[in-house]
Amino acid sequence: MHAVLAIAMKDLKLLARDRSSVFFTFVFPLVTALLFGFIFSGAGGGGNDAIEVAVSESGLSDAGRAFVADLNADPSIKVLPVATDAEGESLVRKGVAAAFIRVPADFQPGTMMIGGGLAITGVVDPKRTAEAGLLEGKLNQIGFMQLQRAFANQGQTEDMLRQARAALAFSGWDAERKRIFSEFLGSVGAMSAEAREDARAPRSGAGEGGPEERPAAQAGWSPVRVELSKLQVDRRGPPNAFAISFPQGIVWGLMGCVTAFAVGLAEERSRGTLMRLVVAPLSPGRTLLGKALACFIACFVVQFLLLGLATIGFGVSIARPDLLALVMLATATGFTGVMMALAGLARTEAAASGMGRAVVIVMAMIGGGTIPVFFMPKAMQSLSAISPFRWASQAIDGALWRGLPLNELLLPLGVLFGVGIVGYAIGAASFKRARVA
Amino acid sequence: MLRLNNLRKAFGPVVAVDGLSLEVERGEVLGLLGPNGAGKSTTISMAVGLLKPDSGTVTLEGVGNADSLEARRLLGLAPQALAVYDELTGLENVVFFARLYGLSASAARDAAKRALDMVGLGAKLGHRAKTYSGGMKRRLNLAVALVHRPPMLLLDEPTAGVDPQSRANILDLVRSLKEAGTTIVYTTHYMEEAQRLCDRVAIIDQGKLLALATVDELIASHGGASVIHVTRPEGHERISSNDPIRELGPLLARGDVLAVRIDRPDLEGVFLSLTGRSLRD
Repeated sequence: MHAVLAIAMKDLKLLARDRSSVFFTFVFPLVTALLFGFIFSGAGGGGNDAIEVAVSESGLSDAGRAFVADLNADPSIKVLPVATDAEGESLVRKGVAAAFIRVPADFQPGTMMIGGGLAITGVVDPKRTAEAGLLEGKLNQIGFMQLQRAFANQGQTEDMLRQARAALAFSGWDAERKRIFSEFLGSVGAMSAEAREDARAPRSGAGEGGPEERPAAQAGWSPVRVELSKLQVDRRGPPNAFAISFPQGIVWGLMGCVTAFAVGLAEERSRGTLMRLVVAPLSPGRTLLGKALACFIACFVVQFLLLGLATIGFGVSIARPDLLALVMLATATGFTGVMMALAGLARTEAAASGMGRAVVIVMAMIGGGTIPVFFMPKAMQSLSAISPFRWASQAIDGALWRGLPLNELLLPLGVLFGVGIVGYAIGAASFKRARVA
Repeated sequence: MLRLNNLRKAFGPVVAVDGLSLEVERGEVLGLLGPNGAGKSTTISMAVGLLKPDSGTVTLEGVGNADSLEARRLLGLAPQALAVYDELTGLENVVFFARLYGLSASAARDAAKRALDMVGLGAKLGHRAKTYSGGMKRRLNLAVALVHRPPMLLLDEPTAGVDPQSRANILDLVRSLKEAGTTIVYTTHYMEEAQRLCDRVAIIDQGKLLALATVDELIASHGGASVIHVTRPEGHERISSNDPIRELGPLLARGDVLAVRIDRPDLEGVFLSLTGRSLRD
């Protein structure tokens, strides 16, 4: 074991003395984390694809289901039906949905006219606040559509006005206000009747003036009142932008480690020091274990330092410290495997450096290191599954601020450990092949 | 001490070593000479287990297969490449490799200081290797090979590209190691080094062993005759002789001799005689 530790310590010493490796392993990730942190502090995002919104449908009235159906029919929204609030919030935590909303069980169109509009509550992913703004607009648009459709139907209008009057009776408003609103409801009934008469009369311009085509936001009043809170993942407070950007920075640091150690191993081969390691009385497995251990330690230290800095200097609170430790181990294992595979496949320093950087950049790009995965087109989001970057980022997010339970972290943890094992096997096979060539 | 038996190694269509057999005796310095591409480094690599021979065996006295972990403890290799870490100090380099041979931290440090003193780097042990001159790096390369006090050393061109001072230091060190009983395999292009250091010399070319004997035996069998150069007022005379001293008396007795020089055959002559004068690029 002394020899394995000696190899690991030697490699760490070499890393610490190589300024460019130190920069890309420790400084560049910090710069990235801070840069994206400040950017995220001021803005969210918005993709071209439909926003996925979890909606609780249990116990909804027919009108409520119609509201949800209209929402789902909108090309910019994709409804993910859930049975419980917990299920909806879980989808947001995992990043599957941008938000989760609850439509009141007793929803009727008339309730949109009283009390400042229909109250829709829910939670939003703090990474996706801009999408939440768009969602609020869409919910109001759907609300207007519901009202317009109701006004176009005599029975529905009467039902709606009855519901509104009933709601008015129990509203707790003062008498004067109730009188004014009662008169308004009477005017609405008369106006609705005239509108239906107009609709029955022959039209001069076909295709114009249908209820669906009228402008939705006709006044300052809104039919829907959206109350979305950022998803609470920790009792000590909501995450800030740095909770989002530091995991990205960490993964850049890990990529720096991977490149530095892969190049280092290739350097050993080209300068002849690997020959010395091979002729030493060590099994190939122990020699490789020493190399892998150094990379593992460096990967762990990068995470520890950046998370420590995020916690102490940037107010990031850790939702699941126990799981975060496990995630850090899995992440270090996964990226050590990537390093071993790269070093095994690259025969020269130049190849390791070129291949390492190319792989790093591609993995980072498709894994969300530059553009968050949820901003990407669906096909790219699927493709990102091949990048350890994406799984590491997902796992760190999950334990750091999403507060995911262990069972929801099993997939990214499994992928990272799996990458580590497969990568080590590739590196070991290549090392043995080179030794006996 | 080390026996190479009918070794063969090919890299694709190129046969680097072809049926090579030789035995290195305990305590001797065996010179391995050959032109570029003769198969010297491939032979060394197979001897230390870096390369697996296509056929043939390498055995080390007392432990059998030279590729075993036990055998590797008995070997010290100074490869032709300067196999040290530039970013580590001389001491850190040697300590690191000492630890690979199972020495504890303190024992490795002591052994490393001793090895660095032996190669004349004791005063520079705290400097990073990247600040060393070529000769110093070559000596550091040698210190790494002998830090664990192996009974057998394989030195692959240990004086290539060094200044005269470093070369003298390395040659002195090899002599002292030999006196201490270390068995040494020494590959070199410098014939005078082999002639001065080696008990026996093996000359190989195109992967085959051409000759293996003491320097004197090689010269006697392959060096040809000595040449006596006699200068007289009337001109220059060259006389070939296997016993120039005996020839000298009658030549001088004829009188009017202005100058006499005897060119005795040397290892370089033997080498060129065996391997030819064609260039090996």
